[in-house]
Amino acid sequence: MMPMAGLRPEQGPPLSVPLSFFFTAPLALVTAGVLLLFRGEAGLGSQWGPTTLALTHLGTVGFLLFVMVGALYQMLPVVAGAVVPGVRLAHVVHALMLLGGSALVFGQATGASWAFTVGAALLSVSVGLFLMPAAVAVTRREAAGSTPRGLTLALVGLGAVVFAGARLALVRGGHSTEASWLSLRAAHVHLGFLLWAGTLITSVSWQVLPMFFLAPEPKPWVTLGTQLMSSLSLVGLLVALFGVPSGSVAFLAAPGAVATWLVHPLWATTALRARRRKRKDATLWFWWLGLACAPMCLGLGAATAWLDDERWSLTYGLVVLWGWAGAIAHGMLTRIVPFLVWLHRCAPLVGRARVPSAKELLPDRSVAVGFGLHLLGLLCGVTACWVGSGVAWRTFGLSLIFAGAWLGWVLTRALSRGKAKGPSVPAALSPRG
Amino acid sequence: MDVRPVIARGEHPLVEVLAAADAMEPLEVLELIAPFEPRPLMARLRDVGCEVVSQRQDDGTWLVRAGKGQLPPLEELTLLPAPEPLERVLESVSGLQPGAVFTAHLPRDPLLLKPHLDSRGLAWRVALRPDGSAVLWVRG
Repeated sequence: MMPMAGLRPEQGPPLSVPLSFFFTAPLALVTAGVLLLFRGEAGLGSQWGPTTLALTHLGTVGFLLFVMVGALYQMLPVVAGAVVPGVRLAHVVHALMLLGGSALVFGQATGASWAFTVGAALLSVSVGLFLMPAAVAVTRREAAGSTPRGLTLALVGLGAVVFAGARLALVRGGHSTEASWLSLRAAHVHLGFLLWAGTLITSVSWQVLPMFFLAPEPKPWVTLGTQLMSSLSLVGLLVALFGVPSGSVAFLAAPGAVATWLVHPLWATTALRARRRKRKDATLWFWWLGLACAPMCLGLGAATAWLDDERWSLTYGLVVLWGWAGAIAHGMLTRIVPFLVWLHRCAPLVGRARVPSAKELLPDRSVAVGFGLHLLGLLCGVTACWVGSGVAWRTFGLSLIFAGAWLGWVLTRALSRGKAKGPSVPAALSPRG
Repeated sequence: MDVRPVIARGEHPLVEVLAAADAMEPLEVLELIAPFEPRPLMARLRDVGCEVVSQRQDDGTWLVRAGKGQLPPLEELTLLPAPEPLERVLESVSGLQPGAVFTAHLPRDPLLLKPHLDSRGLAWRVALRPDGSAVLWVRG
């Protein structure tokens, strides 16, 4: 059993805080799709191309960062028993992150150096404004255990990836020169994939798989072993930020990659197969997809390091962002948003008025359609990486537009269904929603 | 009350159990976890006016529930994923008559439920079991 003492659910943020981040994420998918429609033939043959960089950051910043920061605002108080001071500041963080991410992507897509500078500055400030209270919260945390420890590790990873990203953006903006640019870039990528996204997904799964799918909780040696391997990579990659030969960065990342893309999916797959009650649940399909893609990420990462073919790099990035992390984040959005809406809007009215269940807020059928669109996008994307034609990239773009639009639609409908049933919840009954 | 360590030491938990049973308020439930079905102990509890039921658990242990007066049925909700246990509990307690008791076995400590029980003015208690599950007791 995971230690749960000292949890303070009543200190969760207002509903508007996580939802503002969650509802921004689908916009990034639609934007990425539109970008592909317009730039389907330009600059997509290389990982260094402007369109590729812009698309990558629409995925990492626009989609994943927003989902994960929103999730952390929600999870830190509930799971770690940690109060995030000044939680209303989250709306400022959201606005700055949105402006910064947009400027960065614009700079990458157009080459405008001012946009790099503005984007890097705003993103750094926004992440800093998120990290400072979050760091205060985790240092004061009352709950012990693997998940709070993992959240702390993920926060360090986020700080490091943004630090590296800001330095890279300053170089691209023409404000500084960086002798070890290649190793800095490699460290930025690995920190983002493994220490930020990887550690967060891993730690959160130890909590949510038992909670949402009745999977058994992990043994302490699983959690400790995974975190030790990730910590080893974190230390190595932090050193790499200050200059190591670029070829050695992949080796420094290797323990974290094995932990995230091999050990964790092995545990999670075993746990999900042993769940205490097996019933149809479309949100679980996203987990299966993400877990199936995880070992592929490891293989593709190795192929990228050893094979001199840009198509491997493109496929690696796509499978990491949309196949593994993207699928899990997408699935969790469709699970967490109706849960939060139900908890804030409907739970106070149960027994007093007819209220929908969380499942009715976002029915399985809608989630299944979203999963189909996600999978279609992944298949189109991989095809485009290897075929390389404008038609293939535009088809991928269309699939992203459909996936993002559908996700935005179902989340909005879940919120409106919750609102329609519970417009007049007395403040005293609402958990600060 | 987990009496397994006491029995493992070769001692008998009778005194502690009877003291706990004696201290019980009406509508309260005493839960014992034992490595086997403790029939003599159950008989003694019945002798002091308790209603007693026992049930073998998945892990091979025995859960004994004792209460003064009729025991409220324990609703089994451990096989429901979040937030369904919360939904079921809130539905059940919303119709609870004053003085009536509702008990449920939940998959984990119902942290998110507690503010809602408080806001409805319901008295509640949660007992955590060694396997991480929890027994919720709510009085109307």
